[in-house]
Amino acid sequence: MATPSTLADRGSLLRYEDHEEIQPAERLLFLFQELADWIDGTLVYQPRIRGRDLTPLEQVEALFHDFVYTKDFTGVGHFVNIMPQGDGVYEMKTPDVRVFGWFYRTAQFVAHSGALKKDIKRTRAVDRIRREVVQARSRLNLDQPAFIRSSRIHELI
Amino acid sequence: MSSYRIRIDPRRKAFTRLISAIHRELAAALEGEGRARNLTQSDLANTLGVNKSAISRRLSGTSNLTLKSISDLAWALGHDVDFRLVSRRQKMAGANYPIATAPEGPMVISSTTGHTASAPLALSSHQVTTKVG
Repeated sequence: MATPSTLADRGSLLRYEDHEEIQPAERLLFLFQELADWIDGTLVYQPRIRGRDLTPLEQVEALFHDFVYTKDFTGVGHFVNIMPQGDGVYEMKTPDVRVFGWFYRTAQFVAHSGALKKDIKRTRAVDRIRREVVQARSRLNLDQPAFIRSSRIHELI
Repeated sequence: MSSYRIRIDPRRKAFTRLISAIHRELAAALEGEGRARNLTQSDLANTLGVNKSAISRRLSGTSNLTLKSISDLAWALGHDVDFRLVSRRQKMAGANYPIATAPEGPMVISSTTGHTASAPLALSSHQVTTKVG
């Protein structure tokens, strides 16, 4: 059995950090290596969409940073439970990007995968992604409960 | 511990922090006014004479912010915008640097209710902070 923190210690998960940030972390954000590879290999090349202030990469960086370091981050508008019936898979939203994962505990999010909003809409891939997140979570063999959920996002933030 | 960070240009990172903080402050102000006097995005749209979707796009980040749009939104919320620059050098010298008593002035967007953003924002050699809501 394990926790996301122990898995990050072993190198099985990555812990998001901003080394230039002087504020202490308010929350923990863990990433699968596959997500980091997608960010570094795909998202980084996505251009800024006309009318946006930020590129898709900058949107994700801002959301990750705010989640981890901002004390008054509410999560409202940034998290959607994509299967309210029970899987606890959440969609982390920016204007152009979706990141999928789950809350292991309050203020601890494990981010599994990402996709561009335009691709999700075109391929209707949310169900497939949700199944992949659940399968990946099962393989981690986390201490139970492996995830938490709530209809009120502030209870998870 | 295996860690990960997203590498972006420091100049763009400063802009990203500023945009993010402004969105957060506007959302907090709207939430506060919603609790206090049931103010909604529709009310803001009516006050400003625009469609509700225009307000929604501004607040969600799907439409870019301008100084005018920030000012308009703050005005419609019944808030004022205050602007200060905070020295990043001084901030780095002490993690608990008290913004309110900073000898070198920060940029602050502030409101009538005095909510203070917790995230400092870097701009040039100075920190930018916002205070709305």
